[in-house]
Amino acid sequence: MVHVTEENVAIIDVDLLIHECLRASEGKKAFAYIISPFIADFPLSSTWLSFVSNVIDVSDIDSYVDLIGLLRHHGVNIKIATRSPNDLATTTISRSFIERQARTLSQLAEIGCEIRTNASLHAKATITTKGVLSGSFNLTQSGRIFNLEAGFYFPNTRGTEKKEYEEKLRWAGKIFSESTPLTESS
Amino acid sequence: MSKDRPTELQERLNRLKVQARSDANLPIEKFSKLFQAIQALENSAENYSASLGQPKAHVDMQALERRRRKLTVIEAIEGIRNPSYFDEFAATLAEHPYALPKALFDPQGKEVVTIDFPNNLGKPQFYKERTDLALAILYPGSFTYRYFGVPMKIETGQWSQTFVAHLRMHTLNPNPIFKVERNGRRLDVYKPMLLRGRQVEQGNPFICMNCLSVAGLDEGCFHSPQIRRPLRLPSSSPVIQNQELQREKGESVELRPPLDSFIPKVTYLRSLKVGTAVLGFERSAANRVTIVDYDPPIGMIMETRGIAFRINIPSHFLDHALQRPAIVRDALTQVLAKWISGLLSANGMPSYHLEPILSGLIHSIGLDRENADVEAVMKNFSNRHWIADALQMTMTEGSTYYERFDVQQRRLHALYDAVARRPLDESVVRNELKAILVHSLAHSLLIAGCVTSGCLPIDLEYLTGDEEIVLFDSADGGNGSSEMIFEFCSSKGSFRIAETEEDAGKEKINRPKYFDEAFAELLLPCQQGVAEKIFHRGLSAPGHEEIKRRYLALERQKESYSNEYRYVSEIGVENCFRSSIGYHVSLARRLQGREADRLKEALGICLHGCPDCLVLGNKCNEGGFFEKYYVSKAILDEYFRFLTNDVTVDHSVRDSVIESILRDKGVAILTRRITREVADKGEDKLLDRVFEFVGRRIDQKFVKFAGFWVDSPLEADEIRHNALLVLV
Repeated sequence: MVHVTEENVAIIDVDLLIHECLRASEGKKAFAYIISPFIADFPLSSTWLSFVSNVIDVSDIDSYVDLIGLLRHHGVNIKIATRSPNDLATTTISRSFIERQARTLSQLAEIGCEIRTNASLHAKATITTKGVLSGSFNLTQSGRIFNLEAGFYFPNTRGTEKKEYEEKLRWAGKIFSESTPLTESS
Repeated sequence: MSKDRPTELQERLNRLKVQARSDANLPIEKFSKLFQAIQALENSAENYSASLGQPKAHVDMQALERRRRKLTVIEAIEGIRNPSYFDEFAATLAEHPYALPKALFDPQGKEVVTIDFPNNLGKPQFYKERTDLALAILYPGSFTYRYFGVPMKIETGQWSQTFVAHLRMHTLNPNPIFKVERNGRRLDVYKPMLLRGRQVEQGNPFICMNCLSVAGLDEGCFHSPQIRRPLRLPSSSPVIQNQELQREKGESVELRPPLDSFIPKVTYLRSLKVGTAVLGFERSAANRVTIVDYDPPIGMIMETRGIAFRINIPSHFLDHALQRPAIVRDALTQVLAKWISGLLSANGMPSYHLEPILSGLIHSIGLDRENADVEAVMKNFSNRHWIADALQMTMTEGSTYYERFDVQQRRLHALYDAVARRPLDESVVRNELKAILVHSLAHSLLIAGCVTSGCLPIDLEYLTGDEEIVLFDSADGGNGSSEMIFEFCSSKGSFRIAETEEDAGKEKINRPKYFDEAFAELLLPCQQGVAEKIFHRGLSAPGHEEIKRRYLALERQKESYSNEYRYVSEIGVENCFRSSIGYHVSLARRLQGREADRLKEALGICLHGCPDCLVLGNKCNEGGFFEKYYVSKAILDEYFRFLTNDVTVDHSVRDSVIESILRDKGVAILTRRITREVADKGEDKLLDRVFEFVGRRIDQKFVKFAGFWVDSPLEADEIRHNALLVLV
């Protein structure tokens, strides 16, 4: 297991997602569960995206939504659990933040992500075929870059970690299935 | 008419009117016509009087002076042969208050040349062009539709006997501007002042199938008219040699690991003087190529901008490469090709005879044998006994597989004799390996430069040296490509928080493709080459989309190329390059023409380069025809493996080993080899290992997954999956 903070969360997140592109390019089943109550697109550093390959092309990516777009292009199944903008409107969260969340969800829906909402959601995690990244970090610029955050990452390899991974994957599937599909009205 | 005459006329008309009114015998029709005529005459008289009352017109002395000057300029232009200063005069021709621009698009460079088309009926005779442009597209021997869409040729004079064009019809600066070295000779290069052209009467002229000269022009073909064919105008390209004359250095940067071991330093050259010599031209028609040399070479000195890439090719890499027989055998072939090509013109032979002549030679010294022993081959070459066999082989191959193979045995003997006099030993191969590696790196740098700056290969040129490769803008005065490449050389800089601030009002600008990213991708194995090697080795296709697509394309072709592909698998891909030269393999297998061509096609797999990786065609400094003897993707791949050898480990090594490499070098390559015996595809195990390290903290940095590529080295029957880990 790797201890995750705001210093390495984006690196792990991007690596997990790029791996799904590699996997999908081989015609293998590839997926990503993205769980975060707050979601807003944010720019990605070219250092995180730096990836050389003669089997996939990771270029023309500037932001998180672009990266998800690349995954969708390769046919990766993306399942997102979050809170709906309508639900957030009942809280004290700023209007501009809610609008940004709505805009990002709209972009993600447009590129073919399955989005579900859950008003009780507080957990944050990214789960792919290769591992689990979970902790305090929302999928926002603040959560991934600015705030002091803490969490953990463990790969889907062997031993205890594999067991933990499988448990977390089942948990993510449950959260997603118990959430409500995002509609235009939500 | 005096001023009183209208009055007098009017008085007479008045009297006439009175008389007419009083004449009772005058018929009414005549009366009416008379009064109409009187009325018209009165109007005319009145207009005349009015015009006399106008003020006097004054003489505009300034306009007169302008017209006088214009007349002088026109007479001056008519009197000079070379109207290159017309633009300077033209401004004075404009009518006040307007100013005539010198040109809609001013030539960018300082050097200009006049293109002269005498007998260009009904059209202007002279055209001013930038010299750099003229040397690129209007060199002697080229055809152009640039002027009114009419086909024109820049003259060469007769060359078809000697393949040397004496440029006497053009006006060259009498003093050489610099010297270039070619085939051991120092040649003076002259700047063209006026290049003469002529109109090509026919769109489909007759072309001699021996020398590729165009009938009816100035090329003076003396071959039989029976071997001329009506074809479209042939394509051509200049044979260019650049030479650095002076430089002014700017800022320097370093690339990220592991690229810093290839290119330790990149320096911007804010001012670079380059001598560009056009040594001749390459002409292609009907799948044949001839190269014509100029006597003397023409050229110019270009003031431009560039980037210098420091390269330190370690001598122990050359030692290492010399231990790779597959690479050495092909390098030997490339050396021999260069020696022969340098002697073709001198022996009055067109360039397209290179392959049969080379084929005869490599067969006679035993270089065509699968896994030939390099030492034995060099020994065979040195004893000169091969010449008779090579002569016979070439003549037989030529007459069997080439249309109109009219090589004279005497000339061929002289050529082989001259080749045999050259010493061939390990040091020659060693130098060749280095030269090929440097040239291949230069191609990769140029392509990466095009990707980063968005320019085309024609916008950049390259120079190669022992310790440095220079890319420079191909336009006199520069075109901005080098500057942009340097600006986006590396994304090494740390992530700046300011970059992440979202500003809805700002237009989103996509991040650039940094030069080091593009260069790193070009250093990876070629997708086409990997697919071909895996396919012909009978290894199972990796699942990756692009390689699989290429693999399946070969699989589909297998039905119609079954014999050919079987042969490739039998001899092994590492022997394909030499086997693809000429038709010695087909001759040995007694194949007919069509079968021989199919086998040659099947043997042409990407070992030393293809358009997908580093082949530049006419943009190669050696020209498209000879390019394959000057570059090698296999050597470049071997260099990459060599330089990354100390950071490359099997994926199954202990964590501490990988961490130690990352700590020391900042980078580690995990690899997993898949052979026929290994059933699983291996990639999952490799990536499982990679993701055990992702995000780990090592010192003050974190491990990142930064690359993945598939390889199948020239000398190993295996697939290698490689994953790159870096510390960020």
